[in-house]
Order: sequence, then C-alpha cells, then structure tokens
Amino acid sequence: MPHPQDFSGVIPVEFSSQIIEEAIQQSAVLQLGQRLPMGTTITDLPIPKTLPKAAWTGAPGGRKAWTDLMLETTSIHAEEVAAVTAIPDSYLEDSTINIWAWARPRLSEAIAVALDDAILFGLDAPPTFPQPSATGVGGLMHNDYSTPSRPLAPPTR
Amino acid sequence: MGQVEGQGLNVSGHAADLMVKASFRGVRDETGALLLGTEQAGTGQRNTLYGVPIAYNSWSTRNNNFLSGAWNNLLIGVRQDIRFAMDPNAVIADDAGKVIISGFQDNTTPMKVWARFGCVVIKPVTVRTPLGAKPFARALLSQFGATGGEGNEVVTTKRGAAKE
Repeated sequence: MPHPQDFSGVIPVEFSSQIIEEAIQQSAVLQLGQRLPMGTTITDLPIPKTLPKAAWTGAPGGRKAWTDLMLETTSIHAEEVAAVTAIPDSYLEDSTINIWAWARPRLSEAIAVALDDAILFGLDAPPTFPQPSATGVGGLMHNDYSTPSRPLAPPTR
Repeated sequence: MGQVEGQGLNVSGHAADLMVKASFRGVRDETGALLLGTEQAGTGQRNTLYGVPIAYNSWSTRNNNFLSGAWNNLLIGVRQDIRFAMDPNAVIADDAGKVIISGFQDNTTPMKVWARFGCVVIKPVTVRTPLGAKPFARALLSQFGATGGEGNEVVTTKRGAAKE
C-alpha cells in the first residue's frame, strides 16, 4: 500500500489540461468568449474608438476627405479564483474508486460556475470585472429585453 | 437577437440555462424547421439555435436565463492555467484564522485548486452605433409553455407541429 503522500496513480501528470478542458465544457463564457493568453497580470489592449469614413471626391483630382481613425486602450486584469478541499487519507488508502477521476470534474465545475456567475451576472465578481448594471442583474453591458416594448407573448398562430 | 443586430453586430452565439432547453424543445419556425439544431465542430457536434452555437449550463441564478450576443467582444484573459496542489501537512483556516483542517493532525490531505482569469467587455464601434455598441442582450424565457418569441421577432412555437 503506498503512503498517502504518494499520489502516483491517483493524479495523472496531465491534470491541468484536463481540468481546463472540462472547465471549458462547463462554462458558457469559456466556450463562447474569446480566450486571450495573458503574459502579465495587467494587459493593455488597443481597441478601435472610431470607424474611418470614406467620401466621394466629386471630380477627378478633387480633394480627398479626411477621416479619423482612432484607437483607445482598455486593460484586462488577471484575478485569482481558487478553492480548497480536503480528502481523508483513509479514502486515499482504501478507496476502490479513482479519487482523482471523481474530484476532477467537480473542481472544474467549481471554477466554471465561479467564472460564469462573475462574468454573466456579476455575482462575487472582482472589482476589475464588468460590474452589474445599475438596473441589477447582468454583468455585461447588454440591453435588457426582459421588459421589451412588445411582450414575449405566445404567437397568435 | 434583433436587439444585438440592431446595434450593428452579428450574433455569434447564445448562452442559456439548462432549463431553457425545455422551452425550445419541439419548437419550429415558420418554415417548419426545428429551432434547436446541431452543427459539426471538429470531431464532435455542438448545439445551435437559429444557426449559431448555444451553450447550455446549469446556472445558479434564475433572474435571466438566456443571453445572446456578439461573443467575440467578451475577452477572457487566461493568465495561468488551472493548477492544483496537494499537501498532507497543509492547514486550512477560515477567514478568522481558525484552523478548520490540519493535514498532519487529522490524517487528511488538503487540496488547493487555483487559476487566474481576467475579463473585459468591448463596446465595439459600428456604423450603426459609432459611440460603441452594446454587444449582448438578455431575456428571461419561461421554462414551459409556448413562449418562443425573442426581441421583436415572432416564431411559431407549436410543439411538434410540423408545417406541411
């Protein structure tokens, strides 16, 4: 019987890629959003501020119109999400099931739920994440069509 | 979808609570096609709604259960992949510093999982909204019944009623 400190056979080496793949499957924002590798805690992103506009010159040799093409910078801050738990050594020693296979999807789900809650609904969101709007729920800057001008009524046909 | 498209953005996906599936199951549009569909994604398949991907997850909130948007404007920064550590001598304490679990004393192995993510939502400039568009829209769809309308669009929602 291996010592409880020996987790070989319990935890595969490729744990990290497995967890993040499972977290992606369980998180809407990781599935649909654009994932951006960050090299530092704070990353500045240039985003377009204005769209260029072209105009007809009117005649051959006519003066070409000026247009603005501006960028602005937005910052993305990396925040830590974490969880701690504990497994009794007796489980590790005596278990007939693969503890890691059992725990891994739960840990992935915990991270996925924390991400979705924070980003989609602003629940326990870090201050650098999009915050809930003044009208309450919704961590994103979306329109609210839960109260549309035309109600979401069943169709007449 | 119409609200997002009205801002000059293409809807690239939906996110919905798992229970929303019940609202769409068996619902057909005016041409008789099922709203729910699938598309090939690599070696597997993924769910679609109106031809764009939809992600179903079990959400902890019931205030809004359906989100549409141009998801390329939601940037998720991944600073560090998910990592974990197990230490049989570690100690877990609560916010007040009180020891909850001592690995050495309790013959228990604490496990820690952590990762670092960032998030920002871009308000893209479009021809329609030069000051910055709102890339997402949300709705509270009924779990059961025939509510299938969204935004200003109306769809035929008779369950299983194939158009002849």
